[in-house]
Parts: sequence; C-alpha cells; structure tokens
Amino acid sequence: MEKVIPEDLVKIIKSVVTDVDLSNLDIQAALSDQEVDSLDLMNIIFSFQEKYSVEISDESISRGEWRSVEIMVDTLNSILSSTEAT
Amino acid sequence: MTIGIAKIGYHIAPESVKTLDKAEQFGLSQDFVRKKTGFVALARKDRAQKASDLCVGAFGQLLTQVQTESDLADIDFICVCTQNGDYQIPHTSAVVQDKLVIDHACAAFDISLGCSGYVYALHITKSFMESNGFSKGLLFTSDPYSEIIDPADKNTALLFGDAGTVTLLSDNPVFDIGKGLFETHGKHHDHLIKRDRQKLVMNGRGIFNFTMSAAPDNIDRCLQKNHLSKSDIDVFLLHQASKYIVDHLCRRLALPPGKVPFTAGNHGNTVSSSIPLALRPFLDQLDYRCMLLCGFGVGLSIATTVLRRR
Repeated sequence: MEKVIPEDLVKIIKSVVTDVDLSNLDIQAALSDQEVDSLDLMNIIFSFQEKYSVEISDESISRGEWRSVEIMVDTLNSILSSTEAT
Repeated sequence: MTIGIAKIGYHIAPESVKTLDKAEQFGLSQDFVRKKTGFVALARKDRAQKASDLCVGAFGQLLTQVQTESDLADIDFICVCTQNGDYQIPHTSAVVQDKLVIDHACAAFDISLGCSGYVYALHITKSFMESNGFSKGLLFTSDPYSEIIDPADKNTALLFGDAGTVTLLSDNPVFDIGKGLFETHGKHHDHLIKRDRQKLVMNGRGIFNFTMSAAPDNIDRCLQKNHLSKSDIDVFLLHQASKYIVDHLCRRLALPPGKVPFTAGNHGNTVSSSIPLALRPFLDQLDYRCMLLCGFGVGLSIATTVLRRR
C-alpha cells in the first residue's frame, strides 16, 4: 500500500470538520489548538479507521498519537506497515 | 386486522437542567454544548417520581386528544419499554395498569431495551395484538436516566432527559407499521452499561463508531426490505442521541438536513422516548406519508422500521 501523505489526511479532516475554517491548517500544530473539538477528532479518527481499514485504540489516542496531522501521518504509516508485515 | 399507530401522548418532565450553565464545569464551551450535543436543557423528573408516573403523565396528555374517555376504554394490553422501572419486581406495566385503573382483563408486560426499544416494541406489540385479536393497546416508553446518571460524569451528565410517551395502537390507525430490521452487537455490550449499585458508564467513542458504521447500513437494508428508496421517505426520525450524531448520520446517508430533524434540544436524549416524541408532531401532518424510524444504543442494538400513512 502507498504511504499516507499529509494531503490525504487533510482532505479527510476537511470533509469531517465543516464548522471551522481550516484553510490555513497547520499540519504540525495540534488540531485541538486549531478549534477542532473532541467530537470532531473522534469523527476524524473514525474516518481514518474506515478509509484505511485499521483499528485505532483509545490508548493510542491518549498517548497523543493523533494530535496533529504530521503525527497522524507517522502513526498511520506505522500501523499500515506493521499490518502489511503480518 | 392490521394494527398500527393511532395516537401518541407524551409527558416531558417539567423541571430541567440548563446545560449551558454547566458547560464550564466540564471544561466545555457553551458553543460546543449548543452546536454539538444540541441539548440546551435536560428534562428532569421530581426525585420522588417513578417511571410509571411519567407513563401516567403521558396517558393524561393522550386523554386530551380524544373526544371522550370512552375512546380509551377497553384497553386490551399495556406494554412499558423501560430499563429503569419502578421496581426490579414487579413489572412497571402492572403498576401503570393499577394507576390508570384499567380493567383486569388486560395483558401487561415490560420490554427491557434502551434507545432502540421503541422500534422493537412497535413490532412486538403489533404481533402480540394481531395474534390475539386485540384491537386497542397502549405502548409506553419511560426510562428516567436521571436516576442512574452520575452528575459529575462528563460523558453522560449533559445528555439525558426524563420523559414518557404512550402510543395508542389500534386496528384503526393513522400509520401502518412496515417490516423492521434488527441487529445486536453484543460484543460491545459494555459500551453503555450500568452495573449493580453503580452509575451508568458510557464509552462515547465506542457508541459513536458503532452508530456511524451500523446505522446507515441498517437503514439501507430496511428500505430494501420494504421495497422503498430514500426518496420515498418524507422524514427520517433517528434516535435523538445528540445533534452531532443526528447531523453526521444525515451526512453519511447523503440526505438533505430538512429530512432528518433534531427535535430534542429542549429536553435531551430521552432514550426509548426520543423517537415517539419526534414522531408525534407528524401524525397530523397529512403530507408526511412515509416515515422511517431508527433507534440505536444499549446492547449495542439497532432497529429500523418504516411507517406508511393509511
């Protein structure tokens, strides 16, 4: 499977979050600092699960592995590569 | 003889919790509460009131809709859908029969289901009535979650309200009940659970994921089962879990927002009462001819059905 790139995730995030202006989304900054609330974050992660057929644990979220786009890309690629390896 | 829905009475507990006043306590903005949960007030029953009292209140409102009290005489059976009945034993429907002074020639049973309960109960009671030749029955919903919620729990304190409804089922209905579609995802039964002597615990993310993945598919398959398409449905009445869930299900189903109303903003998520409360105003709107009902939650379970105006 091709590696996930930030643009893939930004597209999904923008399709989920409709009530916040994300035209200048900073991929390094925490989404929570860019007015993305906890419900939208839950919905974004659900969309990732659906799109990439992966399971994302509550613990992974608690560890902050989904707080910014940049970190999301790394986490997702790591999950996908470990899935491929098995 | 075909049994369907004739009338719906309701009782929304008169006291309320103002959620906007409580938002800060939970580290939430008022905007978040208003736009995302959508509940600005949560109906609260008096502490001394029981589930049966909400049923009695709903029946009183139903009485205001009939010409004479004799229109509600000769009730063949009573069903109460609740998981927070007056007592563990006996069933709340027997208490309701007593409080309403309904003749003893009346069957009574409870159904233990949560937010999918109304759709389940419609089908169970319809079959029960038809198989026994009954012509008039009362289906109550009453699940006062205020009794089992921890007011300090951020996940549940700003969601649930207390209300009761009563649906008059008869052989001279306004709406016929179509074919239902039911699912159970017991693997996730602990996502919404109240253990002995503890308060309700909800895994919000688990419920959200379940709803977003299971409900659209259940709705699509129910439509197929009834030989209908989305465009045949005048309004989709989804369990009023929160505004966010209703709005996002609407988007996933690719429906116009006007077809998927959120109506619970002033009283909260009333569990099995949420669908009949949303349905009630449409009974008299003759241009609404075909409606879809979908309940989801505790179990985790999901149930969808369609109603057609006779």
